[in-house]
Amino acid sequence: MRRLFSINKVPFSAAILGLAAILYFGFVTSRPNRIAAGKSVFLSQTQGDVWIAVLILWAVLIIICALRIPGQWHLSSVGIVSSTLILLVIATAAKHAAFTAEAEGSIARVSLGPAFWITLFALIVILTDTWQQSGKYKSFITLLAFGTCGIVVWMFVSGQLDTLSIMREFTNRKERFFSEIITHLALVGSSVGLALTIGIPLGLLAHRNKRFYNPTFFTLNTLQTVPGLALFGILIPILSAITLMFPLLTVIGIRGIGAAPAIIALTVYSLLPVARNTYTGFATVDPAAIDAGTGMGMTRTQLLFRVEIPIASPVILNGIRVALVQAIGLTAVAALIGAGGLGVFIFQGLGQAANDLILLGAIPTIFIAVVVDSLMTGIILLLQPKGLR
Amino acid sequence: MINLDRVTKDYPGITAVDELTFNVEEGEFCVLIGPSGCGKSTTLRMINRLIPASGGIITIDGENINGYRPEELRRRIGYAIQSVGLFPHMTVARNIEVVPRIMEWNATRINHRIDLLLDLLNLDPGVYRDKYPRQLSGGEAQRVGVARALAADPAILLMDEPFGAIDPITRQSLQTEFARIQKDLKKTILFVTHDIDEAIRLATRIVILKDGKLIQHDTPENIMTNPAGRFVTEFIGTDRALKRLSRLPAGNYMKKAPNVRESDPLRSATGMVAKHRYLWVIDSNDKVLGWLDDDSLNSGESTTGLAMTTLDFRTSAIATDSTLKEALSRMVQQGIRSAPVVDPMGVLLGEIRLEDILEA
Repeated sequence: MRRLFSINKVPFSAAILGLAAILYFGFVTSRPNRIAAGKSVFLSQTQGDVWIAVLILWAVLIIICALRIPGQWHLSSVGIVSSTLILLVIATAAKHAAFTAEAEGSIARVSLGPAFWITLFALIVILTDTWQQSGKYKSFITLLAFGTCGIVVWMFVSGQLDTLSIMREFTNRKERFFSEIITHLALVGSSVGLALTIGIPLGLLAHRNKRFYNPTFFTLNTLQTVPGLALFGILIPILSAITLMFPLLTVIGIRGIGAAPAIIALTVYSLLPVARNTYTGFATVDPAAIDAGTGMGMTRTQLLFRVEIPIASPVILNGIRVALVQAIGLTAVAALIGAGGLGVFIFQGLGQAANDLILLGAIPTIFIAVVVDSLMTGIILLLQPKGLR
Repeated sequence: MINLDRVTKDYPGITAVDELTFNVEEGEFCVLIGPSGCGKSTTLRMINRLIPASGGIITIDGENINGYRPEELRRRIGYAIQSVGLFPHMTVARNIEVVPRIMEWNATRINHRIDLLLDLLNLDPGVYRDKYPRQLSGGEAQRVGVARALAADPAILLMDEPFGAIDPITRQSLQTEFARIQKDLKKTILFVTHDIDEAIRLATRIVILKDGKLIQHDTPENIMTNPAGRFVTEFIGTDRALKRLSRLPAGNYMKKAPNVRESDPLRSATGMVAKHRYLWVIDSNDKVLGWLDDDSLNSGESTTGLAMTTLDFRTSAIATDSTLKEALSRMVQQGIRSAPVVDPMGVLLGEIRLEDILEA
């Protein structure tokens, strides 16, 4: 006999987690002004009636995660319900913020609370898991996810979210926000770029000549273990001393604080993944292929470009991906030594105890990291030689 | 022609190759053999300058190999190794065309060459051209490796245990095929192996090395009949008489076979059976069907066809191009003292007797 119930484990657990969050944590936090102590508002206490829809759909979600429904319908319904819920959860918060602004004036703030973040996280987990399980319905779930993103972007652009505290922080700093994103990307780009020009030759050298292996990777491994904050700190007096000795350096913008120490530190951290993966990539090339190639009359350069690099490139690109994602996160800390970037908002927010300002720095940082990560993964898949797949 | 004159390779603390002098004539299949560490691979790799020689002179067609850039020298010499070393990110066709492309052959010529080589090595170009190395079996990969070594049609082939990593059955068929290919191509081949059976099967001349020194350089036949000392005798092994048989074509030891036709009356055979002890029975197309002996004459059957002991030429007869070793093995297997030699259709051509094999 076919069982009626069959729990789809990951989505079910995530849905239960979300339900617990709704019951035990505040959904939004209400403050009379930007930095005053807040008051938790539970989902059922939010203004506007969207929360009823959220609760009902959440119950539906738990039930369909526990029911045995034939594959296609099951995954599609979980996908549709969870993406609808993502929109509703955001709408609930926005609606409550709008009501509050109307009732208490524009100084009052509505911040997103733990229950909001946990339900959003749970829904993203459910959608991701559904996408992974979806098999031949993958394109449908992908479409659903992009559609949901599109609607969220539309809500953002059309001002539906403007009354939320985090959006208030954004509106107050719009120009600064975009210029800091550019600074952030520039810091990441230049440091990873530098790491490539140093790290790839280092990795190749360690591969070609085993004597360089130990010193190279001992140094890089050690540097990697230095805490980010400490490395930024150490560089300030060192660079200051150097610029004192060579004042000309200040002309090209090298100072104890600012972009120069940040780029140096970020480069140092990016070196290990780049050099390590370059070494590993070249080490995966079968020595017999090199022997055969040399014996057939290929020159070193021909072997490097026609055999070694094509075989090693997916591994090297993967190292670049790791370096990029790591650098995007670390650059947030670089704001502390005056290098700018999205970390500026995080540290301002910390200083002012303004959580939403912290989020204004943190969320885009995470977003950029995720986007760059998936872009690089896509590129690696595209560039991977067919024979190695 | 490859000429080695007092070629030496010193490594710190050890002389891997010690004043080695020998020639490989044009079109010769020379096998370098010896226990591991005897310097055979080192010798091979000095010829295409993968390893620089410490002393002595190596010439190819009279010219010192140091007179060329190493890459140019190597492009004129085919090179196949035990681990094959196909490029995993390239298809079979792209692997084979590496050297022709470096030498800037035009596309049509390269494509013709790829198809010709794949056909030569019994790989259907339609099937194999676009396969990747990971989709090939060990034997197929090695065929591609040999095709790649032959790509730019070099006059000389250096092969370092090319069939060493392949299972015994595939290895034998590869050896047989390679012997057939070499018959047509007439390349000058220097082939390294540690397998004496392989050496005896393939070589026109064998160079036996021990501790980097040349012990014996001769044809397989002479090495087996006159091994130079105990080392060679032991290296060839106790079954060297049997090994020698694998060099002798059965066709050369074939005698005329007494026979009668199936349709002949049994009476007419009596006199001949008395004379030869047995007769082969053939049909009207001369295809061998069985034999007659005293027992069959006394069996009481009335016709030759009913009285004879039948045999299947596919299991009990010998092909003209097989070796005496195979003939002997077949006789022992079937428990017979004499075996018919037939063409592929089973037509009786002659017979081979056990006593002739013993005298060979």
